[in-house]
Amino acid sequence: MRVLRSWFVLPVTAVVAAVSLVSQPEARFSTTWAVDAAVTSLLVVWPLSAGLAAADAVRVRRTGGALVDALPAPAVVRLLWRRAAAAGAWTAAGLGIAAAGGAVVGAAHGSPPTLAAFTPVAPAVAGSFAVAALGAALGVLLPSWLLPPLLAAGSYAFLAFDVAGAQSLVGLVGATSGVVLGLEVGPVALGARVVALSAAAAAAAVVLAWSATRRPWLLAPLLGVAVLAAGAWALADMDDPYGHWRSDADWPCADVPGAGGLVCVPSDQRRDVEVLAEALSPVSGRLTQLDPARADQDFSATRASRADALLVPLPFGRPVDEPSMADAVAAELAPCLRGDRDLSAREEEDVFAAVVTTAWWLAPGREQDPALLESLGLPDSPPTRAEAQRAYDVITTCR
Amino acid sequence: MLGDVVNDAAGTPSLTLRDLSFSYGRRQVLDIPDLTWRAGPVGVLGVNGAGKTTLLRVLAGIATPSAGHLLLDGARLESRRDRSRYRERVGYLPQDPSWLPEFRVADFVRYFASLRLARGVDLDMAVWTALEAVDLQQQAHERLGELSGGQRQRAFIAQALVHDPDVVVLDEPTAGLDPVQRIRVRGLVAGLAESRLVVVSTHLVEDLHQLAREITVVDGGRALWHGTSECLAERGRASRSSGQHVSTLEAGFLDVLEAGAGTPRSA
Repeated sequence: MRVLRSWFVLPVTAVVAAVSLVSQPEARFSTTWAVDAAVTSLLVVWPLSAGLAAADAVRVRRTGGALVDALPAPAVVRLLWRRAAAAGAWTAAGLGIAAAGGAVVGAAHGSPPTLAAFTPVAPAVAGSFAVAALGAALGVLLPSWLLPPLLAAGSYAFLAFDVAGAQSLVGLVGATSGVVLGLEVGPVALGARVVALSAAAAAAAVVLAWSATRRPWLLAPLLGVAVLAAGAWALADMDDPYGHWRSDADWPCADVPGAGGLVCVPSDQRRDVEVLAEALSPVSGRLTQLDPARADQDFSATRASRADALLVPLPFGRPVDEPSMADAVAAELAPCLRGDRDLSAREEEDVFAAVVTTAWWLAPGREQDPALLESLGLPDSPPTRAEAQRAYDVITTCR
Repeated sequence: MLGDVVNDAAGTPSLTLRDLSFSYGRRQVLDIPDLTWRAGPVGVLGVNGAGKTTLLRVLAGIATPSAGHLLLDGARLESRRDRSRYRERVGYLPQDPSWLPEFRVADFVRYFASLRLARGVDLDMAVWTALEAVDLQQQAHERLGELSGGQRQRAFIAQALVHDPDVVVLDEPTAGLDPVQRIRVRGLVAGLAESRLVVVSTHLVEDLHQLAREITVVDGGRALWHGTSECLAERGRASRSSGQHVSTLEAGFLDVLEAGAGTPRSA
């Protein structure tokens, strides 16, 4: 408690804020972004919390020495949980402040927070206590000043790197893609993973706390490692994090005006898609002038369903307007830009020029960068219908 | 039994050491065949390195005997749970106690009270009673790091008393204190021993005359002699060391050491 003063909330908040600022620029200022950043920051915050709790426990154990040794078992457990609670509380406070701040920012940018979006925060907070308890237990057991840095580094390695050969744990914990709806791990899924990791840490802490009162010095770390490994294995076994976690109920479909059909997205992103569909509608209308066969086609931006993996980036946090939709649709129409064809540099340039021309036709009111037009050898006036048709043929046939 | 005189009073609590030994690896540092202490002040006297601290660590429940038994009120401490329960009844002042120096005296004592005492117990009352026992009420809000040596020692004794233990184990409580502080701590120990078994270790013979009714002399990890302080003084008067600028108690102590040197002995 004396080590863990209230100012510990500041570095935790700062870590979360820093992670927020560098993560998911496409999704910035949405609620999803705020929650994802808070959870992703656990990669750093949890090792910090474990290391700090361990440092606190090591200091108490080394300073208190015989006074701690002379305590009966229940008192040792009480001491341990109390130290863990202090570290966990300030970690949780930092996470809570950062997540709440992110929600406020998200709301100000048109992404009102929903209760479901914050599902992962509660287990993240609980996990912070569990991780701190683990650090405190280890600190009491192994009162060496080498422990806190080693524990923090080890926790980071455990969370960040591929432990069981399947996927990095941090990928399971925090790496959601706000860029693509279809690859979004929903808040429930995210929360479940955080719960799983927290449970592993808590189990290890309980084992260590139990052993701390009985002093089987070698057995305790081994048990702790075994529990952590079991947690890692359990998480690594979830080899398809995108398919199993989200239930159909979390992914409702509804008829969104202008979307040309049912839109299936996470409920907390419904509003984003409505805005998107509204911007896409005129673009889609002009596209049918170039290719009437596409009149009934929904573009992936508006049909983000469970089955679709190829989707158009959603420009969260930026104005969703016709030009950006036109760019997205034109890019999606060009299979050779998705790596399906091997193109020479010259062919690639031609296709890119055709994409720019088509996008300009789809959103004729846009302003073009003169330098870009000049570099691609395009005129500085909007394309005619015939020019757009030729460009459309190029990007759809890649010739 | 060791010694010339054994206290036969049926006081509780009582501690019995039976065939008790303690080793660091293969090196045996404590070997006590049979020894019983009953409620009251008991002194453990020995030179530096005699094994006093190891003995008191065993009595505090920190060090588990390599062989033999420690009995509280005649009951053996068989299991870990027994030892944990035993530690609930013991208050311990280590030889060089330390705690986070930024703690204030009352907070420090309260912290240990909150760890040791069950829910529902009035912690404020327990803390205040302990501080009162060591006469530290005035310093309750001072930080541990700001106290004088004697005040600090009394703060740590308060920590050992806050759960109202039956057995109090004090390792060198007067070491490093000036004469005034030593007198104060001796008075404190005497008060504590009215209702408890208080085991005090020291290498300062003159302290024991005031501190302890019974004395156990330890050397080389062995209990050489056990008896009352008067008996030790009597032995001193009869010894050849008597009169050579040493007190009778010191002479008795020297005589016990001389007699026990090199040979395991039950007196």
